[in-house]
Amino acid sequence: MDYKAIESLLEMYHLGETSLEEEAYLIDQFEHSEVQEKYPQEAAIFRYFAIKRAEALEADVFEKMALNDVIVPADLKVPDRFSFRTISRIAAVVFLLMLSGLFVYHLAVQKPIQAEVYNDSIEEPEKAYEEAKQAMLMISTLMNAGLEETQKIASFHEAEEKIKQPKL
Amino acid sequence: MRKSILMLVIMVIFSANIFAQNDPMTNFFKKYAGNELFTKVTISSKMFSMFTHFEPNDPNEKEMMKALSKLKSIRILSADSIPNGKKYFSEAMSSIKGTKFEELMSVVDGTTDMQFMVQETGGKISELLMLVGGSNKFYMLSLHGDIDLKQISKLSENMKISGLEHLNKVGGNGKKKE
Repeated sequence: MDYKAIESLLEMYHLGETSLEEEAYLIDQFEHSEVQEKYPQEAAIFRYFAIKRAEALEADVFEKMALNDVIVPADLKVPDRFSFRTISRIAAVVFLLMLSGLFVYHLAVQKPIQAEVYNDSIEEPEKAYEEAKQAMLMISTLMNAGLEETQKIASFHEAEEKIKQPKL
Repeated sequence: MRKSILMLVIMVIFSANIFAQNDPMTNFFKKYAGNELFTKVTISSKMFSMFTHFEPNDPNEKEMMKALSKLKSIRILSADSIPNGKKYFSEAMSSIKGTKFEELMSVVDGTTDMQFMVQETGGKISELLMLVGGSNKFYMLSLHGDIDLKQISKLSENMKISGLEHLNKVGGNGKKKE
């Protein structure tokens, strides 16, 4: 048993200068009863470390064993990053953004143009009234002329039907 | 998820309603409003409300005022000396195709084409469009509001009109096309 080395490592351990490998070496050495008897103060600490190390190893082994026992079905579908749900969500967001863009465009560009179309071209009400009156009379006259023509054709068709009818 | 779908549907309906306002005749009017060959006249509902201050004594003028008070807007696009008026008439007619406009009356003769179109909303005529296209003239008149065709028809019977010489042609030689 290399007590000199153990002693020197213990001194370093107390000063906090030991590496993980050196501490592992000390834990291994304290498994022996001679070492435990020679350094009884440190023995309790290193035996505690030995127990914890064993528990950690057991947990590691258990995890590996448990994973080995898990049976993965051959037809198991792993969730795809680009599933239908994800794509439909992205599409909905894009659609909303496009709609918002169109809405803003309509308000900023189309509306002013339309407003211009509906703005009064005449500022004086008297002149505007005269224009409106002329427009109404023009529509009225042309409409009546068209109706007159319709009546003429209707009368012609009526007469035509009468001629075609056989005399009883 | 349901909420977002509902929101989406509401937005689509809302936006469709807004974008639908840009009707083909507005586009047509917009296209030629800046053209020097055409005379543009627009009268809005605001101006119509100012007409109520007039108090005519003549019964015919009163009748005219009554008809105008129901309107919301008038748009006129006219040209008396353009190279091919029928071309503009055809263009206007093709832009109306597929819209809610229904044909009211159509008169075609050798020199002049005339078309009356109406748009109904809730059983009432909300828009009346008149298009006239001749060899060197084009008229587009659009009335918006509550339109009573019988009342409009009476207007010209009551008043004497001058300066509408081309009407004689339409009345005399025209052929009615349904």
